[in-house]
Amino acid sequence: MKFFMLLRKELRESLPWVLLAAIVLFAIGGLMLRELARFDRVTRRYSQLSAGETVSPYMLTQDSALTASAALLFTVSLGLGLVLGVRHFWIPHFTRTWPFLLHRSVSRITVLASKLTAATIGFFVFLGTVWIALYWYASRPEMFSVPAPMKVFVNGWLFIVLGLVAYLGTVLTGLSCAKWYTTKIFGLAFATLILFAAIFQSAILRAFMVIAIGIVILLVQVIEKFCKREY
Amino acid sequence: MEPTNNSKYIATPVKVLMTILIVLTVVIMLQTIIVEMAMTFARTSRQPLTEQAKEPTEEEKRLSRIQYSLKQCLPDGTIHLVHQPGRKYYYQWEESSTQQIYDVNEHLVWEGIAKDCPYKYISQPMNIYGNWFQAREMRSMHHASPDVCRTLDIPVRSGNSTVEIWRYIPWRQSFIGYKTGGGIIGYAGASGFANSASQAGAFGKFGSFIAWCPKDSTTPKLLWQTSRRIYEINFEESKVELVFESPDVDIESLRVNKWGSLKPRGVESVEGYRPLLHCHTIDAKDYLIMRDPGQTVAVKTPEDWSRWRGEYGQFSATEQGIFLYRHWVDMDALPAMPENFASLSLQAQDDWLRDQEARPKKHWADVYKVDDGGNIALLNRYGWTVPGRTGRTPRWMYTWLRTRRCVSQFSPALYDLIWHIPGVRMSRSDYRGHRNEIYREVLIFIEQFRSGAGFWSFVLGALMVGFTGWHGWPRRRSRAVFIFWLVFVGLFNLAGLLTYLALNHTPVIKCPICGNRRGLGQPQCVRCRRDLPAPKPGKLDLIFDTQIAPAT
Repeated sequence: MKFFMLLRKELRESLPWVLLAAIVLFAIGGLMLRELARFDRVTRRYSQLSAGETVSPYMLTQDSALTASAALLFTVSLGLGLVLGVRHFWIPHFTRTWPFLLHRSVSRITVLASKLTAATIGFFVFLGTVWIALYWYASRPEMFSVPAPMKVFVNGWLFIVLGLVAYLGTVLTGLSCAKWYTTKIFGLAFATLILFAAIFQSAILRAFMVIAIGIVILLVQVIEKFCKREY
Repeated sequence: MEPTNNSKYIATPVKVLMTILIVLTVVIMLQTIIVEMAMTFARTSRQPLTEQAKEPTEEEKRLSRIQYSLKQCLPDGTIHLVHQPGRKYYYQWEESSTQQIYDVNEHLVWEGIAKDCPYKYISQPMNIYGNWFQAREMRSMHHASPDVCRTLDIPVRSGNSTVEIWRYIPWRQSFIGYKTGGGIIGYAGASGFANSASQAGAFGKFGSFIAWCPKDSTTPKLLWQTSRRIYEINFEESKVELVFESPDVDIESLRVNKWGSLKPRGVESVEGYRPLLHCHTIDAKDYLIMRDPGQTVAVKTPEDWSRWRGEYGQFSATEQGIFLYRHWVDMDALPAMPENFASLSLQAQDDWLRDQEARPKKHWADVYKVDDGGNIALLNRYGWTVPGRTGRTPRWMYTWLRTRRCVSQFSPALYDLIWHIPGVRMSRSDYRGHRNEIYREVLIFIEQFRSGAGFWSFVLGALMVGFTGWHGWPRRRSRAVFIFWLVFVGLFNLAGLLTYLALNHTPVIKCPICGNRRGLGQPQCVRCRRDLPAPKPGKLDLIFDTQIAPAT
């Protein structure tokens, strides 16, 4: 019961940022898709092919209609991760409101779990819903001659999970008591490493594995630090 | 649920792992930046004036002409040396330039404008690298990067418009077809075109493909290579033809000559060519697949040819027969690289390499005829000597190598341990289709920046371990942790030392009992085992010891 009350509180505080991210993704991604659908060039795309000639293979490889939206999702997801991390763990430090939250009849792990759950809901429910909507739109035969490939859709979920990695990196940095010029930013630095390691994988399963390992490493440290630290 | 006291046994190693990864990344970036900056500054610094190049002698001109001539052969096996004066490399040749043709005895047999050449040489298939799409490129197309998400789409054209699109699905290893108005047409796989993916079947692990448009259509046809098979896919006629299947081993490379509209660059082809596909397998066997009429020949090449890699054997099929052109260098006359080459000084390595370059090398061009049974018979052979190259190694290269050797002394000793694991060196050199590029690039970096277990790397490592011991002794909390950090710094060198300092640099005080330095990580002094003294209660202290509670 206390957990759900805390969760409601965290969701209420995160709602403006999560909604903003979802609206930006929906509006800009939707507009980009709509423009591409109006000028669907597949019938004119291959006009450079000539009879009796060798074809460069790069003429046959095409960007998906969702590529630009996927790039936008990547940026929005990382940005949301940073903002939520600051909102959940840095703002209470700056406003000195940690004692009001922690010195209650609720365990620290419950407080932490409510914040992490709120962030996870923000990513997977809000951003995930918009991404599903964009993919559905890009797969409609009346909009695009050839539907968007499933790989783009899976990549989008990868970027959403990367946003969670950015969130955990920001949280770890916020919880660290070290000086900023020593090891305080190592949380964010590690999240950046995981990000690059994931996006350069050619197999999607390996990318998810890398992210899963990164999340475990960050989460273990976040739990330990949050529960043992003095506020 | 609260984390127990034992949770630190999970969190602490994880923290160490995270920190070493970050610090190692920073050290690697710094090493790379220093080496690249050294090379950049060395290249842009003023070079000492060299002696003016001497005018080549007649003999040097003759050898240069022979070296840079194209060795062409006629269907009867005659070898000619084709040369365009003033143009050293083949890509500089032009049809409108003056061309000279010499026979093997260096007699000039013809001179004139290149496009008027009366001789029709056997066309050699060029490996059309730029137009072959390899497995590596297919993998890069599927990176999870936000700006790279491409698909392979083959159009079926009708006039100037596209009526169908066939998309390759990598995890199914087959194609799915869409009408441009929407809707799925069907699937294309190893079994042909079908209404379901299971009926169509999978092509197999992707190797490479090349595409061309037939003379009467703008719909591309594909030559699709998997690990053991080659298919020709015609989307317009909905046909999949199995052209070749390697019986035992994987296919390594393919070359084509006049297959469909695929044609090599440059030399005019002789009339009456047969479409030919040359398939080279990983066990160094060659197979020729020809058409008009259809024929497959397994060429019986001598076993010692398997030592040579690269484009040394090129096949052509004409009405007069099947020809093999082979260019090779006699390496047996040259001394082998010494086993301890990597541990020699830079000067000694440079001297050895310059000595090799200065030696003249014998090149050979052989022309063989191949019969229907795959047996080869030597038609003609021409040999020429390429003079050695003299001259010093460029100074910037020397600076770059020396700088790299210096910064490598700070690399982890772990690199050398990894390098000596069996199989690692093979993986580093394996550029065939399916290796993970990140893994191979990491191995290449380890090879370039490992310290080589040299004297200075031992000295630096010992200094760092010594410093860690001096720093960690007053701060130690247990013997096991202390020894762990010593071993850790020994293995990871500079990165290990920085990680240790990042996680363990805590203040020390002077023990009030024994006067030695002690850390504050545990209550007892590491020397005299006495506790930290309790602070004296002050007048305003609210919490004080009941035994010395002030009298009321």
